[in-house]
Amino acid sequence: MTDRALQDQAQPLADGDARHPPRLAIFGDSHYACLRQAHGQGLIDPAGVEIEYWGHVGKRFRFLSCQGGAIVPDDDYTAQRFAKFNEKGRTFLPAADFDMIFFMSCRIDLTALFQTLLGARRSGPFLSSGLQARMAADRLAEQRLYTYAKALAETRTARIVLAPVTFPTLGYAGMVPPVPDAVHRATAEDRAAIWQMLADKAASDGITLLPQPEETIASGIFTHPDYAIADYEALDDHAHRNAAYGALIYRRVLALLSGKAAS
Amino acid sequence: MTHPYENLPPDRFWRTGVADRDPLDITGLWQPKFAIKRRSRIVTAGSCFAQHFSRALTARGYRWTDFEPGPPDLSPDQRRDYNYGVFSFRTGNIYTPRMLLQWLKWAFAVEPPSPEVWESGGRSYDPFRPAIEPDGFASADELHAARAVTLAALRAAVESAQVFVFTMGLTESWQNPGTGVEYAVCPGTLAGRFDPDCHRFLNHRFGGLHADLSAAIKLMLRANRGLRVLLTVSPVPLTATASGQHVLTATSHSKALLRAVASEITDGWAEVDYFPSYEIITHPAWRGRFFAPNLRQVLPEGVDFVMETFFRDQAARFSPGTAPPAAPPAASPPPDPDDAMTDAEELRCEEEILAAFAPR
Repeated sequence: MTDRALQDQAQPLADGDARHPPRLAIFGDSHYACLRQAHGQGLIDPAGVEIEYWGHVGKRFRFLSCQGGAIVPDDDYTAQRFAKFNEKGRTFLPAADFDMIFFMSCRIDLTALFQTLLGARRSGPFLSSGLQARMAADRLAEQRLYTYAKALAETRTARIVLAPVTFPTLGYAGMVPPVPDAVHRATAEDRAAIWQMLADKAASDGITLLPQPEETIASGIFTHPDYAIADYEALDDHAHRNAAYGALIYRRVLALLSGKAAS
Repeated sequence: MTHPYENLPPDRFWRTGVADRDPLDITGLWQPKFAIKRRSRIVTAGSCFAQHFSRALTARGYRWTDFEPGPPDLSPDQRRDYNYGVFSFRTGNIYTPRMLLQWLKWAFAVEPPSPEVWESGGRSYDPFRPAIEPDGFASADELHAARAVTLAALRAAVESAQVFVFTMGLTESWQNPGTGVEYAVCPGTLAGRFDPDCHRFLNHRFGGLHADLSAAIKLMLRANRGLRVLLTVSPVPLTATASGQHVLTATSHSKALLRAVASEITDGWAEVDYFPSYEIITHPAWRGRFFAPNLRQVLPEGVDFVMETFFRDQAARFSPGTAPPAAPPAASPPPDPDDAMTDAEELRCEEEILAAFAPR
């Protein structure tokens, strides 16, 4: 999916309220830390945007529900854990309080899907475009937090934007099955075709899908080490991203919020 | 001996073979010609009833082989909707011997595959397997690319299988006299548009069925001399008939011809056998108990009984004294991915958040 495609998605908030600045909620698991870091380090300029963070480690996500247009913890312990990192101490996340909610990662991992579809595109087995689209749609629909994003989008209050888990950092050897050579050779065009199928499904559910920026991709299906956290090899952490990556994503989110494409 | 019937075993007499028996204890219906072992590479094709064979074989650890399996991470729903794993290749249902012969001729380059495509609503449908993709193909090129994969799979299956199970379903068919092709279904039903000038009904007769099936078997044995063919006849009645007869008598006509051709071929070929699943489901000895109330769909217990008979008769002939293989219990569901998160991984996640929100 190209920046041009994103530009097409960038629409001003239809019912923006002039009485308050645009309100953005960043909702995520630990992968949203890179956004907070980008913000904290001044790598982005969110002037005029009221921002709240609401998230916690992925394992707590199994204790979240979606009801009445809000993400709601199932127990007090989980509610307090989420409230701990929110500026207003929110124990739940109502869509109606925001103009945009950005789902960052939120356990929505598409790496296995990309591995299958990129492999099929590069070296087979042949998969019809219909089946590829079905696999993409099913992969999204079967993920619990995606269904929550869809449910919030159905409230037609906040605009829902979603970025899935990033591909693992280059050098990660834990992919099962191992990444074949053909997938390492996957091109931007291959990835764009898959992102487009995912974006089409998301759009049909009222969600704007934010692809992993192409400039952060390495070797077909990995994230370039420039966007890994410091000492990622020593920490054996090939999942989390640094502030530079957070800034890239943040700019895209803010551009969508303001109705402008990311530069 | 005063006459040839005097010393025959009990199963050669109706009273002792059928009437005096509990229907579920009727045995010895099949004396298989060749052993089908767990390690035998088995492929299946034919009408919809054939898919029960693959399921039962797989469930009992037999080596049913799928030559067009698709990616391993397809979900059961995706596999079902896109017809993966139904037969050993994605031909869709092959109802008649002519259709089998047609597919084989294309697979082995005896004839070029038909270029015909049915277009509808911007999608392209394969006239020879119109339901293989739920919404057809995106283009004719994609359709032909997909069919080439299936033809390669069919060719590989014939060349390397040890047992080819073919279930015949129909004698009624629709053809294009101009091109000579036979369609999987009547144009205009699942897809395509019916044109009375191009599309002709043909109810295959005994001679044609026999010739087509013989030619198909010859073609397969030429590619693989070690191949054994197991014929069955689908017990599922016709959905509809274009023969001008009542659908009940048309069904009897079709099934009788297919059943007769199966015996005729089996008697003439050492490499070919017939398994009587048709009789087990349809014969009055079982009083219709294996049919759903619509008297068309076969109930799961009917399929189970057919397959139990298959394995029992194989064991009786080739492994006397051993129990036929039982179906294994269902596999447990995969673990919740969140459960797979280790404490160390969770700690790393917490550290990331704490670092991001730490005061500067």
